[in-house]
Amino acid sequence: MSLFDKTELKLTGTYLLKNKLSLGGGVVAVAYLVLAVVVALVGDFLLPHDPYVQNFAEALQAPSLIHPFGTDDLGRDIFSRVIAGAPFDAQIAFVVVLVSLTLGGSVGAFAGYLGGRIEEAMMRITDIFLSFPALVLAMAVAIAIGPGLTNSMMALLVVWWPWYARIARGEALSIKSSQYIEAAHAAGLSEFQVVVRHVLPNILMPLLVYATLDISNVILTGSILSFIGLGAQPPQPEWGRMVFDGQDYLASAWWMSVIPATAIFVVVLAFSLFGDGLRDAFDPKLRRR
Amino acid sequence: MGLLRFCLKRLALLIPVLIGVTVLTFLIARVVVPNPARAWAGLKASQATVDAIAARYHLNDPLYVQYFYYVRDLLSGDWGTSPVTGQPVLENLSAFFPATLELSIVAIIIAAVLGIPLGVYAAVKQDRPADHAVRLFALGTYCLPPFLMALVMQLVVFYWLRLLPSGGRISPFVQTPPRITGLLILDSILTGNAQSLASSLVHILLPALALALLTFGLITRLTRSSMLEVLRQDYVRTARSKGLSERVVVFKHALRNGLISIVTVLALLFAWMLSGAIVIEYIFNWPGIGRYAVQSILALDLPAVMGTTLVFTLVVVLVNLVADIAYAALDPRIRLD
Repeated sequence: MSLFDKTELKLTGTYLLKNKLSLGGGVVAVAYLVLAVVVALVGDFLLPHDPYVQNFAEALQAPSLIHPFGTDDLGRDIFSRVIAGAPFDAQIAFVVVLVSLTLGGSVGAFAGYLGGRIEEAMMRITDIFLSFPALVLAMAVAIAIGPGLTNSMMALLVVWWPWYARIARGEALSIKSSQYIEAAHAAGLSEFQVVVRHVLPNILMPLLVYATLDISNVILTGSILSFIGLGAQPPQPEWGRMVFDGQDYLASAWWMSVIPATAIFVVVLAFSLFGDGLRDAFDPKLRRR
Repeated sequence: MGLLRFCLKRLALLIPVLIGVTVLTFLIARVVVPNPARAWAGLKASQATVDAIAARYHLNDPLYVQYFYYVRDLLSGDWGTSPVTGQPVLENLSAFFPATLELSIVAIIIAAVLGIPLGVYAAVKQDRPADHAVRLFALGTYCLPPFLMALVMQLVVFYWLRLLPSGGRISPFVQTPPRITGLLILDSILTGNAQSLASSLVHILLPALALALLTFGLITRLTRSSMLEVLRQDYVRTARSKGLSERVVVFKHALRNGLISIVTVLALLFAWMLSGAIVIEYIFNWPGIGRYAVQSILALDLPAVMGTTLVFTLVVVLVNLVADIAYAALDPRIRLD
C-alpha cells in the first residue's frame, strides 16, 4: 500500500479507533514520548526532588505522600528518578529504530530491486546476523566496545538493521515488476533514481508499521542490556540500571527495583498494543474480519 | 526427496552458517575491540602478559591468519582463558551448561503445558471475550521484562509467603548426586536419591516458572494463529460434518496439524528463552551459563563473554537444524523444494 493512498489511510484510521485496547496503548505510548521530550528539553527543573542529590537521612523509605515511589539506598526520590529516566529508553528506541529503518531499509530495497549477486550477498550477510539471539549478539558487541549508553545503542544497531533489510528486500521484490516501476525505468531513470524515487516511497508504509511494533522490542532489549551493566552507568537514572541497583534491596525495599521495572513493562506493553493494532489495521484481510 | 537426503542437504547448509557465525564473533573479538591483546589479557595485566597473549593468539598477524588460528583454537577446545578467574572458558562453560539446559527444558515443558491448551481455547473462542482475555494475557507476558517477572516472584513467593527457596540449584545441606549427565533432576533419579530429587525440584520450580511465563505468551500466540488457520481447512469441516464431536475435531484432527507449524518456530522460541535465562539465572543465582554471562559482563571479561555468545548461538543454530528436520519428517511436502 502506498503512503499517500487516502481512502486506505481513512479505513485504517477507522479500524484503529474501533480497537480500543490498541488505542489505549497508543495514548500511553504518546504520553510517554511527550514526557520524555519535555523532560529532555526542560530538564530536572519540574521534578519534585533532585534525581541525583543523595540524602542518607531519607534512605530506603517506603512509598509515601512525599515520596510516592519511595526512596533508594542513597536517599534519592524514586518518583523523580523514574520521570528523569524517561528520555533514556525513548532515545535508545528512536535512534535504533530510525537508523535501522533508514540503513536496513535502503540496503534491502537496493538488494531486492537490483537482484543478482548483490541480493545474494546481502541475504547471506543478514542470515549470519539473524543466526544470533538478538540480546546475545548485542551483549557481545557492547562488551567489545565497552559499556555506556551510546555504545549500547551502537550494539543494538548492529543487531537490528538486518531485520529491516529483510523486510525491505521482500517488499521491493514484490513491487519490482509493477508497471509504474517499469515505466520509470523506461522513462530513462537510472537504477539509483528508480529505487530512491519509486521503490523506497512505496515500501515505506510496511516498514513503518513494523518499526512501530519494533519499538517495544528495542526498549525491552535495551533495558536488559542496561540491567546487565552494559547500558547507562550510575548515577544516570536509566530504568534498567535502576532495577539492577535495587535488586539487592528486594527484601527490605522492593520499590527500588520493582517500580522502575514496572515502568519499563508499561511502556513496552503500550507500544506493543499500539503496534499490534496498527499492523492489523494496515492488513485489509484482518481489517474486514 | 527422501528424508535422509534432506538431512544431508540441511547439514551441508550448516557449514556456511557456522563459518559466518565464527567470522562475526571473530570480528567482534579481534577487530571491534579497540585493543584486543589487552582485552584478552585482562585490564590489569602487565605488558609482558599482554605481549604473551598477543603472541599466543597471533594477534599481530594479518586478519585472515588470525581467523585461521581462531577457528583452529575453537575446534581444539581452546576458547581462551578468563583474565578474571584465570580459568579456561570452555571448561567453565561445560560446567555451567547442564544447569541452563535443565532449566530450559523444565521451563519449556511448563510453557507448553500452559500455553498450547490456552492457545487452542482462544482459537476455538475466536473474537469472543475469552479470546481477547487470553490474547491480552499472552501479549502481557510477552512484554514483561524478565527481571520484573523474576523479582516479583522472588518477592512474593520467597520473601512474603516463604514458600520456595529463592536461589541455587539444590539445598547446601543435601548431598549432590554424582555427576552423570549434569542435570540434577535426572542424576537424582538415576542414582535413586529421593532427597536430592526433592530438593532440586523445589529449587528449579521458581526460576523455571519465571522463564516459562516469559515464553508462554509466544507459544499461546503461535498456537492460536496456527489453529485458526487449520480450523478453517476443508478436512476439519469434513470431520465436523461426519458428526464427530467438537472435542475430537479440535484435539485429534486440528491440533495435530496445528502443532507442526509450531515446530518451525522452535528455534525462535529457544533463542527468546535463552535471552530470558540470562536475566532469570542471574536473579535466582542459578549456576548456568546465563549467570556466568552476566558475571563475566560485570567483570568486563571479554573471553568469557565471547565464549557464552558462541555457545548460545550454537545452541540456537542446532535447535534450528533439529526443528527443520523434524518439520520435514512431519510434513513430507517440505522435502520437495
